[in-house]
Amino acid sequence: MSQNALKKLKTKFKAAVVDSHERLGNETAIVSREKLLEVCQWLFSDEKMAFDMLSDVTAVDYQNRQPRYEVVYHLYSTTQKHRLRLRVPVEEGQESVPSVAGIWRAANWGEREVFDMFGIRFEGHVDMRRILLYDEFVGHPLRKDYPVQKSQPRMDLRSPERDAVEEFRHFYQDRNRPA
Amino acid sequence: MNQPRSLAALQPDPDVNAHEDVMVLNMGPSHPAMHGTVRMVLTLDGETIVKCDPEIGYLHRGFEKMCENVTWTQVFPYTDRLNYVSPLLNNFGYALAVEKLLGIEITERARYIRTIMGEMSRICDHLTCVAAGALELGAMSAFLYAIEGRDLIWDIVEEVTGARLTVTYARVGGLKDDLTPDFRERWADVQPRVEKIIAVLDQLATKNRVFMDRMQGTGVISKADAINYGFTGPALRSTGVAYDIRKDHPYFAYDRVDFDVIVGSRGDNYDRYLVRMGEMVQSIRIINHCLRDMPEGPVMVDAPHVVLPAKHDVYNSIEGMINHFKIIFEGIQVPAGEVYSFTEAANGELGFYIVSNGTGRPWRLRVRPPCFYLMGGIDRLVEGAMISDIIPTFDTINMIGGEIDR
Amino acid sequence: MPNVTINGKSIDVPKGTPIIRAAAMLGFNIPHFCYHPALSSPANCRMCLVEVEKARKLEPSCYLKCTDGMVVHTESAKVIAARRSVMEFILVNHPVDCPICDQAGECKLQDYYMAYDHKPSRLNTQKNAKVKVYPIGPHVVYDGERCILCTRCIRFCDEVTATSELTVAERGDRSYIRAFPGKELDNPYSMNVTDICPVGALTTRDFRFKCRVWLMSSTDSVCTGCSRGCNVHMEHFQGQVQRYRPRFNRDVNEYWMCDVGRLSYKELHTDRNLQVHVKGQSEISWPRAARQIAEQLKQLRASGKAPALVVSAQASSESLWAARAFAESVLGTDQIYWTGKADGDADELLIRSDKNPNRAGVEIVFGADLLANDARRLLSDLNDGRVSGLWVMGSAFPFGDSDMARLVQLAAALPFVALQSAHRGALADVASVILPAATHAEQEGTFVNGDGHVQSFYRAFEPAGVALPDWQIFQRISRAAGLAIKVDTLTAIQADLYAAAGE
Repeated sequence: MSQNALKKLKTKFKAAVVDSHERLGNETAIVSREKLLEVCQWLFSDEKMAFDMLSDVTAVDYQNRQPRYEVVYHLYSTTQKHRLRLRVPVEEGQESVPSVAGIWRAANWGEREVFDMFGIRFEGHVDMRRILLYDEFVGHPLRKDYPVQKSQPRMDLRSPERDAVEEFRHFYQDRNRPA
Repeated sequence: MNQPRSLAALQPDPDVNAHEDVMVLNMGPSHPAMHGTVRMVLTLDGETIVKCDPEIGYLHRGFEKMCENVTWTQVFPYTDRLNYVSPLLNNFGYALAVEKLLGIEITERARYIRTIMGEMSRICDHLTCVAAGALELGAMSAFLYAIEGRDLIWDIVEEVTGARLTVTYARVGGLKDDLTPDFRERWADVQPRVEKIIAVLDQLATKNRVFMDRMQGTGVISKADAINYGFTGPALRSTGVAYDIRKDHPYFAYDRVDFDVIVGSRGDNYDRYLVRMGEMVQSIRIINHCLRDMPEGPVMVDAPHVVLPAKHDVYNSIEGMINHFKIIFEGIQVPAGEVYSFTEAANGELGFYIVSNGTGRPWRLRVRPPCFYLMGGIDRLVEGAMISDIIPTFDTINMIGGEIDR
Repeated sequence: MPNVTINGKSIDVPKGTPIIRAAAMLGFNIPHFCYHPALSSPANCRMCLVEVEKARKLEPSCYLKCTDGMVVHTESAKVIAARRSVMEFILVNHPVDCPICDQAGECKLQDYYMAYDHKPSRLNTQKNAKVKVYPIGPHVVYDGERCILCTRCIRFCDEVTATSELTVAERGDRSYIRAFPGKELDNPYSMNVTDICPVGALTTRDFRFKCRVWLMSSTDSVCTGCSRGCNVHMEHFQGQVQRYRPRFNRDVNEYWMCDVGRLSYKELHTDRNLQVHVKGQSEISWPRAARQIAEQLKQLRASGKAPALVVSAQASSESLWAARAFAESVLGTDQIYWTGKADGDADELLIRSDKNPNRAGVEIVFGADLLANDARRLLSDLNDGRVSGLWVMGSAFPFGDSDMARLVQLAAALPFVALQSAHRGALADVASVILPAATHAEQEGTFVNGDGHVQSFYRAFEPAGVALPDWQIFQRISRAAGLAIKVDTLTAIQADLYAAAGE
């Protein structure tokens, strides 16, 4: 069933679908970044396509090839029971893709994680910030040039006057003062 | 430090109007109800939640990065620690993905065993979820009964796999070991006791006035919203969408066993609870059906470039030695390609998106955690509700820290 | 030019090309044990058998030369079955040694078993026992059970070194390799046989049980034993070099390197300078030391006692270029000498008498005239009191013990002696300042070999202690002196160097 979906997608968006394959039964279309929103909107609203669920959005860093990254979307239709994978190539240095969170709200958190791990920004996303890592984290760990054993710099406390250990030392000193 | 010495010495902040302004309350990450460590930043208007902003990542261990640096088989211990209340389901989901990339089919017996052990893990997961939910609503005895049920099953799991939680039972191409010889007797002993415990849970909670008042009508989500937020599993089925991967896209032995898909209608916490209770009964049904039909035979497929040879061959023949050596040190050589393999885990669609570059280590291993997308929609579930409604909602969503943060 | 078709693809090849080379040109790898591109093809392993149309039997592709219109299949069913049989035959008597064999991880037998033969063993008798751990030469150990009798080692000794020490003894399944009676495998290239041995039958005594192959990282580098500059794979683990393996270079060393050069990696980790040392002070950091030295140099220069610079033919060209700029701007001297290791034996194969990797580099950077100001001249100038201070790069001097002692004695009398080198050497005890430098394993740079080839070497690991590459040391001192010389980055140096050299 998914084969028909892929075929229809390729017919409708001949220019946008750069490449496609059906290896291992996973229908995959490689879509250009500029046309992504248009393609996703059609896949969502068309009756025959009816891709009402975004299963997953993630990215892959291919390291030594241009374009370096690919953002991967897995779509599923609960009514038609077919699946589709969209891959959007992203060049190094232009890590930005239009956000599909307006179409599938699942993308809200999914895209935040892609930004967190890969540094790829999503235009039009209302809440583009890190999700799994803390805000002061330096770098994007799932990039291939991020070493596995890298240390992070130590952070300053956000409110040292309240939280610094020196402040607590005063507290203990007060307690231990003879009456 | 300025320690106030008396109530009279406390000065309210003159800029805050306690009756009209919203208050930002921090719930967690160290909180008895925020199990799995998650932090909810609540914007409150009195008791009503105006906005709920969950902050996850407290258990982020870099699973996906680690998996890029180990061989395919070395990933299995990491998958145990994803959804750690149902580790077998994670093991089997990952093994299925790699087997798809390799293009190998596991043996018949392995299919059935994977189904049986997976369903046992599912029962454990649902028992834990229901137990924790009841506990936090005050039904402590329900918690203790459910944990006893879980422990009975864990005894069997320990006999078969060697561990209660960190099982690492699956291998690419099959399983680590066959079932124990007395498995059927043990299950025949445990099954009625587990059924009784489920019945007791039902008696204690389902028609309990307090339980119903807390769970019914809270954490409601509509069908369309649930699908749009990427909900799967019991949370989606509670809204009325009959999407169960075991029925719609069967794998292992699910197409050969009879079971029903439990579907709710209102999409509230009560329906999620009922779906889980119903699924436990169906899991027991599946296990019994599998035990009836399971054939004898090997549990590892006959594929020498994937499966370690028997120890006798390894130590006594150079062929076995070389085979063992290369598989262990270089890893199974998985052909280059990508695959998205999905199974029905306890919380929903557990997906593994694997990209291989033809070597013995994964290039990219993405886990699609079911509760990640469930938590993404939690602000929709508790918007406009009261703080106390967060507790049952958070419980029935069943966020497992290991799975959502990886 | 005969045209041959392999697996459907055609190519024109020079006359006399064996099929295995033509296949490699087309991108098809044919497994082989006894074939080596630098040696003759005896076709005794039978692993490279391929199907040639119109031939009655499968043909060894290492031996059969391409003829015009030949059609070859390297992956047909017959060929696959043949490979499996050959593997089974070779493995019949092969000992179960993988856990203790050094070759594990880079063993052809392992790789080909996984690629071409998955069958379990059909053997139900004992395997043949042969001599194991036999010292076939001073550097090489032979294991008869692992040997598959491909005879690569014998052909190497016959054809490359022309010393013919090895032969096959006995026959049938009792065959084994040995040196002729009265001989042992002691030619200056003996350890190359361990590289070409496809299994773990020949291993070097130096590397035996030292480090597992998959633990090591490999960096492309150059041997510093002599001015041949054989290209090597510098294989290291946790910041220690474990061995050198020759890297193929058609113009310099082909597939080989000499034993002395192969063992020269040991120098990289012995007798090292690890900390900055200024006489009279216990511990000092780089910035403080740089400031003190800069101050001292200023005073020396003002009083007309600028130290002479002694450059080393062991240093990289970039460091030499920085040294030249340093001598001009910071030291303020044109009294420059060069030093290096003493000359030694040479032969017609690879070994050169000049035991320094970069004398040509010294010549290019400082001009051919400098070569007259060698270490001998330095010693005599010191004797005559014409040298008022020394800045010595490197610790290698071409002197015997008595001359070296004389040098140390004369240097001790000088007011300022700076030793900037990786190794302590004899001058370390009398130096007023010791600046730890990085070896060629710890920095990037180029050497120019005796034939004029510019060869790059790359950094394998971080420098030991607080050592720095020579050119960075010059940069630091010059910055501390406020006379920054134009040596900020390696690429900047290289740009200047190449522009000046006109190459």
